[in-house]
Amino acid sequence: MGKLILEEKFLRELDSLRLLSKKVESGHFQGERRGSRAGSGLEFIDYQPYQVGDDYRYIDWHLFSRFEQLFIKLFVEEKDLRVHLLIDKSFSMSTGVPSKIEYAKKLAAALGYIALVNFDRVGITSFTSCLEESLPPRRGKLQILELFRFLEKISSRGETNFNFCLNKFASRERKSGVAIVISDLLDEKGYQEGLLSLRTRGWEISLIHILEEREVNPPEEKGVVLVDKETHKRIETEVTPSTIKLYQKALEDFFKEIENFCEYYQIKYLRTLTSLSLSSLIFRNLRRKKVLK
Amino acid sequence: MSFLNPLALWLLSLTGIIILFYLLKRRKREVFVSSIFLWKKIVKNLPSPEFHWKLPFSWILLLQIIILILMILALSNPFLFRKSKENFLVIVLDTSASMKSTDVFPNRFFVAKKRIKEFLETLPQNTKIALISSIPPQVLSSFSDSKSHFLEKLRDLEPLDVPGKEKEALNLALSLISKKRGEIFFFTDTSFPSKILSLKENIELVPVVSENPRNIGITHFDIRSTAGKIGEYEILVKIENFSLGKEKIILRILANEKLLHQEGFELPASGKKNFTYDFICNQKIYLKVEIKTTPPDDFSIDNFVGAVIYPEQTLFVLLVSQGNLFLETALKTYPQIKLFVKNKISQEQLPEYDLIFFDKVTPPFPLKGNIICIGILPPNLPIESKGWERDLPVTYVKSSHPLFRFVHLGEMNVRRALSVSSLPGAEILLRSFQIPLMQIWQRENLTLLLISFDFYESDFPLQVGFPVFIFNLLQWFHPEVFDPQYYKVRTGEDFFVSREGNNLLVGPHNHSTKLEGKSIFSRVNFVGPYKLNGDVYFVANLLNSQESNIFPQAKNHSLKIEEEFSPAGEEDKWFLFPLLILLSLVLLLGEWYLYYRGMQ
Repeated sequence: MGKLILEEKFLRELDSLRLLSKKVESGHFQGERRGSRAGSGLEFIDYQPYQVGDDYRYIDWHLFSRFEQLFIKLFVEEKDLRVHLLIDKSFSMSTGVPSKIEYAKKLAAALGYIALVNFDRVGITSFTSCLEESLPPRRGKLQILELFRFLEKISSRGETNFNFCLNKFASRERKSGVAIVISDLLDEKGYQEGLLSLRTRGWEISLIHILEEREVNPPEEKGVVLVDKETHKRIETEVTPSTIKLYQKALEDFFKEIENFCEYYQIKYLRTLTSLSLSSLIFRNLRRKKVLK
Repeated sequence: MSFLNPLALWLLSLTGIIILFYLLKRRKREVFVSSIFLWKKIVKNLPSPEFHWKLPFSWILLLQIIILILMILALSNPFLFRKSKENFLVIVLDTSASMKSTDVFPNRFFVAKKRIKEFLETLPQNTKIALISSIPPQVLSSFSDSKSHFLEKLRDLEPLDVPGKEKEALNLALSLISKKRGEIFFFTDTSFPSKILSLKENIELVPVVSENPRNIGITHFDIRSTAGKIGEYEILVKIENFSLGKEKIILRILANEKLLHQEGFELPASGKKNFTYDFICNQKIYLKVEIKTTPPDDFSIDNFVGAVIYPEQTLFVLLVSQGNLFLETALKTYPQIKLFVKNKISQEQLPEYDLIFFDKVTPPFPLKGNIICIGILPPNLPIESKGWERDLPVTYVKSSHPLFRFVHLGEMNVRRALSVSSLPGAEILLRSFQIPLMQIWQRENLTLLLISFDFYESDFPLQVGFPVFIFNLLQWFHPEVFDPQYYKVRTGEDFFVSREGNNLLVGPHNHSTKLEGKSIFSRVNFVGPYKLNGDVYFVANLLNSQESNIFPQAKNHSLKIEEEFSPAGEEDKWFLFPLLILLSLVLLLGEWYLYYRGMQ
């Protein structure tokens, strides 16, 4: 399975985790998650007088024998969770050591693994300036290899159009679920519209913002031309300590803006650096942000 | 190190341009970032990045600068003085007429030769000497350390009665030492324009002249026939006093050694007098004008002028034509011409005429004498004809030719002309594009002027210059008839002997020359009568006031020759130009290699 195979030991550690979501009703199939409505689960919750159309298999014969009335047993509905991983694979994701895209792919593999282990349906869509290759939602541990293979093929290229892609995705998918968006959010056109579009269509969003060390702490460079990796636009400047300070201030403002936005729209937002180990991110940060349990 | 062309060193400023190009060309290091949109926000508020003057070290740049400097240095033509074992010395000896002045005993030329000999004694052994004469300016002895050879050449040298060509002689001397560091010594009496005195540093003037020479001279002499009076002539003589004091002068005019007129007068210092005299001449005379002063002056050559005057001659001119009013009228104007008009002529009759015009009439074969063909081609000539060509503008006029003296044919139109090629060796005088309209072809016994258009097919006869052209034509064919001054020349000029057959020309000093047929005599070197076959044929005169002025012009020039001679030729110029070019080519090769390696 190549580079993306997460170590077996690490995968075993992931077995103990599961994705946290309030959106269990979104699943099509019976799963292992307790739904908010009565359904065909195993856990009994109540009785209800029989009505025409009810499944007569759930008529409680014991109560009928005692009260001669037809009652239906109600169980907690156990539904599967639809989890969709949206991975930004634009060229800006190729920077860093390890590169942001590699980091994002490993993270997606881990999250996908966690979801599949827990019988959630997992789909993946990568995007740049438009929606790119997509892995349709699938369920079951057997799909793990397929998911890994899919992720393996993803490589970064092209420009980002975050809003357009998320809009497109939201309008394409009829059922909502949990959307885990992995991106560096470095799109001049913004991110708000796309996230809002998902949000308004009922998706529960976890936004994982990946950055690399040099983006946060750029080194000093004199007489250089900064070239945008995606657009190849150039900007001539001196990267001096004072410029760096100004840049970091702008970055802080940018982060603050994202945080405020996410908080307002109840989006789970997690920012991470590629230098942070994946296990730390998963076992500590994602759990802390209640993305995982 | 010295430079022959130091101005080229200004080009060194070009090195700055190369460096500037490198500074401008220098590309800033590109740093790829994920996105620049955050940078954009902050850069708006930052001052523009400063320009970095520091250039990274580059072998190619260094080589280019060195190559440029070397090439500019090569352009400035630098040279070093290096010790030379040989000394170069050029001795220029003035051989002009004024060197015959006797103000120093026995004359200036003799004294100059003596002083040169004395000078040779003082020269170091390793000195190479060259000898140049001023008349004519030529190298008589090229650089040699053989004094005997030099003295032999010096001994044979004699002054001529010819005005000096000092400038040419000095230029020749300078050209001899142009690549050496040598010195020129000019032994002269300084009878030349004062402009020449602004000599270069390495020319040492050695005047051979006394402080107060005396001379009177005839500096101008003209003869003309009196207008409208056949056989009457006028002469004009200009006499100048070049002495510092007043001179009593006796002027005598003689014809064939018989005294015609004599008069005495006084001329103050630097005084001038013009004198005219009228006389009648019905036969050939040898006219002589002499001036004398007592005691005799120091320069006698200019005390005499002479001329040979021939009586009016009649020229037999034949016009072979069906009728040409323009030509006939023009030729009849001249009393010296006896004009015959005929429709045709046989070959045997050709020698009877001095000049024959064939106007649209085919001449007989073979042609002889002085022939002018108009609008017709003589038979059996090595010439191609492509028939008649129409509307030919004049595109070329050889205006320097005597036929076109005071004649302008630039706007002449030719409606129809024979499209002929040029005769081999012919002189083209008039041309329309590639078609010769007038050409002169000279062969033994034949002088042919071929006019390939008919006068009636052009506006040539209507041109103002047409009669002048006819006169020029007559004078060119027979100058002895139409130019009374023909038999009077200045020394140094050429003389055209227009007499046929074998002739013996004897000069004033009995130098004889054999001449075959009409020829140019170019050795008119002495003043006096020149006799052809025993008769006085023409007379040569000096007539040069500059040469007659034997007063020293360079009195203040120091005579370094009398001091100890320290030849500057101890050092020789070593030109660095080839070395610099070679070096820059080698470096250019290196620069190319570095660049090529860099490209790979």
